[in-house]
Amino acid sequence: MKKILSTVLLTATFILSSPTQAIIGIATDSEATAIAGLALMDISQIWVVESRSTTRRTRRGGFSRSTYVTYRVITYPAFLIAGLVLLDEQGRAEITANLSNEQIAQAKLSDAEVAALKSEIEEVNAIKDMIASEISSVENDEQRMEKAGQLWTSYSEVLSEDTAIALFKLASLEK
Amino acid sequence: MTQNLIKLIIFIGLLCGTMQSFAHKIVLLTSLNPETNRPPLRLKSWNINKKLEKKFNQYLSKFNTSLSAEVIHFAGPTELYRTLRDPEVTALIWVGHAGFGDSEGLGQTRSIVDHKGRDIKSLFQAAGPQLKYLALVGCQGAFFLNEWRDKGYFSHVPKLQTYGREVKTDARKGLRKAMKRLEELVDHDSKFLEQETSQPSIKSPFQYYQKNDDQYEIAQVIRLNEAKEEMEAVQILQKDRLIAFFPQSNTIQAKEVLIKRSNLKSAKKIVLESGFGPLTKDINLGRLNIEADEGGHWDLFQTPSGKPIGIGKHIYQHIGD
Repeated sequence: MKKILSTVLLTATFILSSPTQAIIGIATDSEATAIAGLALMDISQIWVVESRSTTRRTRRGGFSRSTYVTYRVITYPAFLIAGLVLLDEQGRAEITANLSNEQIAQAKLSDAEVAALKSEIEEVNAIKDMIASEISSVENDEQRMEKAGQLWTSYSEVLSEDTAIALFKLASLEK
Repeated sequence: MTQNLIKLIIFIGLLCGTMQSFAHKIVLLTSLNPETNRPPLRLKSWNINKKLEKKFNQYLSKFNTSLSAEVIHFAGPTELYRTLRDPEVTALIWVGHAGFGDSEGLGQTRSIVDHKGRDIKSLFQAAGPQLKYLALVGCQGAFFLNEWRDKGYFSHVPKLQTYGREVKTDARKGLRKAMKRLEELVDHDSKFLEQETSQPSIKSPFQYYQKNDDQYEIAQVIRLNEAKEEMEAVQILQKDRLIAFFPQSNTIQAKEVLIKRSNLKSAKKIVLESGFGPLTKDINLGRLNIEADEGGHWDLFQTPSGKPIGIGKHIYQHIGD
C-alpha cells in the first residue's frame, strides 16, 4: 500500500510540475497500482485529462473564449513515470564464437571452421565495427543492407577461408 | 632539546606510517550524464549525480565505524583503474549503465559503459589485492561478477566480496542495496574494510615489471609509441583478459609497460581497446610496439592497402618467422 501511495504521489508530482502540459489528473487508482506493479517492466498506460482554451472572433466583431477538456491515453515507459533512472544498456552487439552443438550441427560447420572462427573472432568483430561505421551514413535500409553485404565480401579477404565460410553458414542460418 | 624534537618528529612519522598502513577508504564512482539520465518533466537542476552523492553520504552516516570516503563523478577508465589499484581503497561502488545479454544466434550484447559510452568492463580485472568490496550498480551487474569469478579473474583477491543485481536496476535503489550489503558485512566484522598488515601472496596476473626489476627477464615490453595529440585511455587485452592499461594522456611521450612473457606466449594476439563503439569518430589509439625477442614480429591487423581494421580498437597479430 505504501508503495502504491508513493507511486501515485510521484506520478502526480511530475504530472503537476509539467510546465508544458495542463494535465490535471490521472484516471484511476487501479492504473496507478498497475504502474507500481509494472515499475520495472517496459510499458504502461495512463489516462490524462487536458484542459485547452481557444479564442475566436464572433459575428459581432468581438472575441469569445471557450475552454474544453480532452481525454487521451499517453504511453510512457513505466520506469520514467516512477522517476527512476534505469541503468540498462542496450549493449554492443558482438559476434560470438561460443556456439552450441546444435548451432554447429544446424549450420553444418566443420571442426576446422569452428576452430578458425574461434581463433579469429576478434578480427571478425573488428570488421563488423568497420562495416557498422561505414554504413551508418546510408539512410535507406535496403541500400544499407546491400552495402553491408558488399563490405563483408570485401573485408573477408583478410580472414581465413574457413572463418569466412563459417560466418556465411551461420548468417544463412539466421535468415 | 633538539634531540627531543627529532624524536618527536620520528614518533609522529612512525604514527602516520602506521595509520597509513591501516588506511581504508570507500569510493563511489559514478559515470552518468545528468542530461541523459533525468526522468522526464524534471527541472534542469535535477541531477542524478547529486542525488547519488547525497544518498551515499546518508548511508555512510549510518555506519558504526568511521570511514574515509570519496566521490568521483563522470568517472572514466583512468579513474576506475586508479581507484581499483589504489592501496588505500578497500571498497568501491561503481554506478553506470550496463547490459548482459545473450541471443540465440551469432550475437551477444555485454557491456558496462561510462558516461562517454566507453565499454570499461574488462578494467574491473585490475582489482588490486587490497580491495575487499566491489559493487557493480548497473543492470544485471551480478552476471558480470559471476562470470569474472568463474573465469578466475578475481582469484588474486580471494577475500573480495561483491554485490550486483540480476535484474534491471534503478540507480538510487541499486546504490541503497549496495550500501546495505556493505553495512551488513561491516556489522558482521567491524574490521572488514581494514587493511591487513600483510598483503595476500597470490600475485595478480595483471602485473607490471620495472626495468631494474629482478623479474625483468621474464617480462616482455609493450610500448605505445609517441602520441602526437591527446591519446585515449586504452586497455590491452588478450582474448578478454586484461594484461595492461595505459591511462589517458595529453602529453607527448611514449608509454611503456612490461608484461609477463608467458602471457604473450599463450596466445599470439593482442587487442588495443579504447572501449568506444563503432559509431565513434576520430579516436587516436597510437601504435603499439611489442618487442618480440622470441622471434617473429607483431603486425597490426589491416587491409592490404594498410588501413587499420577496427573502430576504437586495434588488433596486433604475432607473425612467426
